[in-house]
Amino acid sequence: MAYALATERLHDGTERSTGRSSWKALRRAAGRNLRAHAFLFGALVCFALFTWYPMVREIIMSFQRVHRGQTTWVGLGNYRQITADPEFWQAWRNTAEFTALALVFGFAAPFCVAIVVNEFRHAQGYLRILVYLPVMLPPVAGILLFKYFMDPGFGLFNQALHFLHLPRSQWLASKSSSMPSLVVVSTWSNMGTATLVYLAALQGIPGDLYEAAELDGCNVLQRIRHVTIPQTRLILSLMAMLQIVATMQMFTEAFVLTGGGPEGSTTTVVYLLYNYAFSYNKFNTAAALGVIMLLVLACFSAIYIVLERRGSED
Amino acid sequence: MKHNASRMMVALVTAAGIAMAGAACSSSHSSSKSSTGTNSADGVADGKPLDPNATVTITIDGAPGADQAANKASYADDLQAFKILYPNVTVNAKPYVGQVEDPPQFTASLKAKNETEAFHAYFTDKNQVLDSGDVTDISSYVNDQTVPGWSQLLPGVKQNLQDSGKTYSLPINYYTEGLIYNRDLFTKAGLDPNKPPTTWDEVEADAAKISALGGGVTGYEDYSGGNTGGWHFAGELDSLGGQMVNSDGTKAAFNTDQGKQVLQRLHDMRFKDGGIGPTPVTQWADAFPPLATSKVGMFLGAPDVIQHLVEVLGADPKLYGMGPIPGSTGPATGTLAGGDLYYFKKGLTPNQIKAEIAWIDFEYLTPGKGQFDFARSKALATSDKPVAIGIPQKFFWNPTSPQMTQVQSDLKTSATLPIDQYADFVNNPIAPVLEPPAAQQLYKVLDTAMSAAMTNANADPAKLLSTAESQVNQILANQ
Repeated sequence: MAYALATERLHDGTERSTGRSSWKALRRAAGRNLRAHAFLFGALVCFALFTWYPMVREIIMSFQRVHRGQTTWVGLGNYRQITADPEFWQAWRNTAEFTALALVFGFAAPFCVAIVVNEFRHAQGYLRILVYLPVMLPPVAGILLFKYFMDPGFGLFNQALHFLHLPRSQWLASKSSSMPSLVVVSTWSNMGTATLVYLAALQGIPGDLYEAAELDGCNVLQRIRHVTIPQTRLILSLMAMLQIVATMQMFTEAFVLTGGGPEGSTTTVVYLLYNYAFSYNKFNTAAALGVIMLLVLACFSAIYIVLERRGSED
Repeated sequence: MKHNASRMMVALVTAAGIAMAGAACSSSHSSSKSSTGTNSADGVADGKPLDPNATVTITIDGAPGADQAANKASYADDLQAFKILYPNVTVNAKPYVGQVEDPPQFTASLKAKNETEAFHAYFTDKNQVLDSGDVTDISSYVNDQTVPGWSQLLPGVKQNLQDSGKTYSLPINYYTEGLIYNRDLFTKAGLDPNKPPTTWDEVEADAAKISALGGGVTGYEDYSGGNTGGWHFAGELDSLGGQMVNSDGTKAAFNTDQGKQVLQRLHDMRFKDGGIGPTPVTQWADAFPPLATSKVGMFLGAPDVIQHLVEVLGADPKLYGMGPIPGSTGPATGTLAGGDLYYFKKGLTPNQIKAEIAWIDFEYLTPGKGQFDFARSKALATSDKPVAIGIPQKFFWNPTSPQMTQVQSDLKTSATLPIDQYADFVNNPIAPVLEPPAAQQLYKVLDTAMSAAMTNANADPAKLLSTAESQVNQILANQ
């Protein structure tokens, strides 16, 4: 009860805080944890300045419009405007397509690579470096490499296909192949980090579980199914969640490689947001789109938390 | 209870953090407002040039960066010469790179009201800049006395400097689009390098011949993304006599025979006669490396494309010729125009505005001085740092004005570029057409049509334009 607030009894019999002792209690609390609070204060100021304030400001801006320096409140006008734009729905379709493809390929590929690397008893360190190398490249430089690889005229990929007597692809230059091409680029750029995370999770699995499975006559696929996947379930679900959040914000690949084309087939929600803010100078509409995106991502996070709780209860 | 006190502490600290953030923002507003106060020493808006004895400090962007050695030397030279005219004026020149060439950074600085006192922008930035509410009306400051040649400015240029009858900016550059072509590839393809195509039919035929050279050479390249596709669609439409929007800017006007012609021709060049190669050009800068390495025969562009090829990419200037933008069956009926200018931040004193105008006039608007001191630019050029003098700019004055007469005369003696190779462009002027309202949004919509025409063998120009028309009408209705 060291911090109990001093109170005074009122005429009606109730009590209220005098405030004086509570201030003393606060000072005592602050004095005891001064260093911790100092660190906390710095972090909170940074969060307030660079995260919370812009967020609140964005929400406010999404209900305003600016014309010739005059700001006016327009209610849901910006939301109506953005949802009436055909590009809005196309951008969501494109984003959903990218997210789905990235989940199928971008999520599975590093896990498979991690399992393979984990199986190697020798040269595992070198393999880890090899897998992680693409992450060390500056993102735009790495992505730009694919611009040359995927050139429909003289690109390396088409030369390779030609050498193998396979039909050439238009890669980024065709509406049907542009999005899968971006998934390839994105998977290549981000695979290293995910593989290392999976590898760490795999190496935490007790070896006797595999021995027991082998004694029970499990083959490789059965061992993966009955030991590896259940043992890494937590990290897998967390990585899936992070993957959804990250892929839904895909921008760099589309911006650098396709400019949102061809025929708008790679215009993602974040790319559309960038266009509204910096190409069309419609910051308020961009803010409305940002809020919509925030709500969608928050829904995914909520679903994840609910599923996670159910999983841990089971 | 300890837990409660700690929570209260956290709440207090959080509130303090947020309050500090708010205070930081409000203080920046108040400091900006306080600078608007003036007194007699700050001068008056009397339409006269700056008093040479006035003591003023001004800030302006657009100074050459560390990577522009030759330009940096001439800029420093100009600052010294200006100091002789106005000994009490201090010019704080901020580097060119960043604020000027990076649109997101430009937008961010406008939003933060963090521009320099006079700041560089493009003609198309007008609405963005005026909407910021942070620019000064300089109508009462500009005239033939403060800016010699003011009355000689082309009407199309002045239109970009003004809004609702008020003047907000001064021009420093003005251009129209033409056809840039590679003379070497023309010769190799059996075409006459002194006779660039003047109609789109000729462009199509010549492009097919140049593409037939093989080795990754394409006859013609065009944009299809990053808003540049729509931008070039507008230019090509203008050349055929079409319009992007109706006269009052409320409805799309490109869904016409001319609009279909633009798309159909590009589609045919890509899929029928191979005049356009398979590699799409989706960003502004993508067009230049193949142009600089003689992989492209023809390209629609402003004259500064040649400057970029020579000064930045080190291309041989002798390779390039420039003709007027092609037309339907004869000369084009219009060509897209654009340019650069300087706005003046709100809150400047009259003497600061006068000093900024005096410096901009000296550096950018006086033949023989600043950017028009061609002789000095030529002297500063070296073999490894070429300077492109003589690109066929329109500049901003009436062709018969004394300013233009002197500029053209100076160019004859100091040009480092083969100006004869641009004679067709210079001698066949085409009427300039201003960019449409909500230009970038409209261009983005037309990107889709342009990319479809050049990447989709089954593209239907009529359908593409109908879709684009309804989208553009919606954008214009929301303006």
